[in-house]
Amino acid sequence: MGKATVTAVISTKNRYHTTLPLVVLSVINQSHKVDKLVIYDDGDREDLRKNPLWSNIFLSASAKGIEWFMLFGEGKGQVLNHQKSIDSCTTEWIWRLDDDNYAEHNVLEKLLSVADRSTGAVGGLVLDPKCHQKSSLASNKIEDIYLGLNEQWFRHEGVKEVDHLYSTFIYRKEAAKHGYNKDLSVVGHREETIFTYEMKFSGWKIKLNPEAVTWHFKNSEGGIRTFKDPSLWSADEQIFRAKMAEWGVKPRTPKMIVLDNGLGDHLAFMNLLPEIKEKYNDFVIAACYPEVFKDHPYVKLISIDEAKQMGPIDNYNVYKYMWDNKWDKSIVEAFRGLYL
Amino acid sequence: MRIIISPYSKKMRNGENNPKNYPYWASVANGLKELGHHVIQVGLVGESEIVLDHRFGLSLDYLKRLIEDCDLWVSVDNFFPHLASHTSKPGVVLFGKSDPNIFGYKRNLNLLKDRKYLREKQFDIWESEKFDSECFLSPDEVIKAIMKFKEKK
Repeated sequence: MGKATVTAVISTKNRYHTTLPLVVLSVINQSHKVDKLVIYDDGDREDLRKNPLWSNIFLSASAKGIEWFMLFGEGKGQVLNHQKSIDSCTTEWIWRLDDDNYAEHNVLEKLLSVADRSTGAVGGLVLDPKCHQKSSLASNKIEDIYLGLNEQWFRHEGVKEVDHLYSTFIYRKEAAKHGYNKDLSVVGHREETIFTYEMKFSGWKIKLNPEAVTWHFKNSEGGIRTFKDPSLWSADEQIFRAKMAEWGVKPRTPKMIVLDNGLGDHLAFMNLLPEIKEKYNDFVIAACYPEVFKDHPYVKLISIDEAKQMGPIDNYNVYKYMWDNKWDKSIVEAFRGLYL
Repeated sequence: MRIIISPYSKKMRNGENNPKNYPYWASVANGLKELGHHVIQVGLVGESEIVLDHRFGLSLDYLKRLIEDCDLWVSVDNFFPHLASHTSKPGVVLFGKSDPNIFGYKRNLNLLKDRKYLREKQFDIWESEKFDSECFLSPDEVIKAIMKFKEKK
């Protein structure tokens, strides 16, 4: 079996002088050399050949024997660009990256190392340099999508099969016959999840190798941040929900309980635990004092920081609840009002 | 009788005395000892010692066992009454500015001098409240109430 052939594909919008050079250089300097690099420019179409930095970047790609292409997109978003990359692909694999990624030098090598004939796609970790936490709740099972915690965001060990991937990953052209979902808007919300889960649904394995580390240098300018209309995201979300129904996936929506308060408050809440257990099949408690629950192994516990990653936690604050409701009954009753 | 006391509420971030702390514990503890009772103080390492038998840094499990084994417990409005709510033992809670209707348990004897001393913003942080010894019952009143509660039980 010969060396795996790979086309790296980046869809970009107006990040020429911020993060785009970083992702391109990280592709050029991989231990497993890519065969082709294709950049779809969905932005202002600057002629980068005249830019001294970019001129050197392109020359270094050529010096390494990498065929590079800078193509103009139609300004209709990355989904269309990624679909074009499949249609014109001549290599076995496509490695898609976002224009604010930075792949460590051995990412491609690590991703390919776990791909066998039945593998449709492989992703690695996509880490935010500002976030150093672990997560016990993060999951790439499709039914856990609404927990909002992707395993690719947190360091962990062990290659595993997953249901879907996010952001950057390699995929086999052969496994992409279903194509990207063209009904999605220009922001392409959920596009990678739909694309990779459809692959799995067709019988391909989707894998996650946490030894492959790509950094996500979140950029507040350019890319999909250009678009501010929330209806784009909600329209895409409707499409995603319809796909979930079509796949027969019943999403998990555990009841969240957040105890960002004192030990006494945790102990007061504990009086309700039997009722919580009876009412909710699936619940998660974010606690400051997890030891309070040590005799209840069925309780799924996470940290307050993990809860904050899933979204704002103010509305779980029992003191806010009591304040807002001019509460004059017991705090146990307040917890009951808040959660039951 | 073996009586557990939990005399202190959480340390304040501004270094001030927590307004929920009962100011006359030494008098209450001495009064109970003079009546022939054994007083055990529980709390966190570093807190002031009120009685000879002080046991600091105990786990929640150990504290629960201690509560079950004691004859009575007396506490301020801290975590202790909430822990005790998971045992079979009611006790006595010394309230001052926090409202026993909200933070107390009906099975306990919740001692409050007067509702006029309750702070207006019951759900605000305690750092915004000044300590006021006036809002608490006297040691004699507390000891009398404890003995009467024990007789009833």
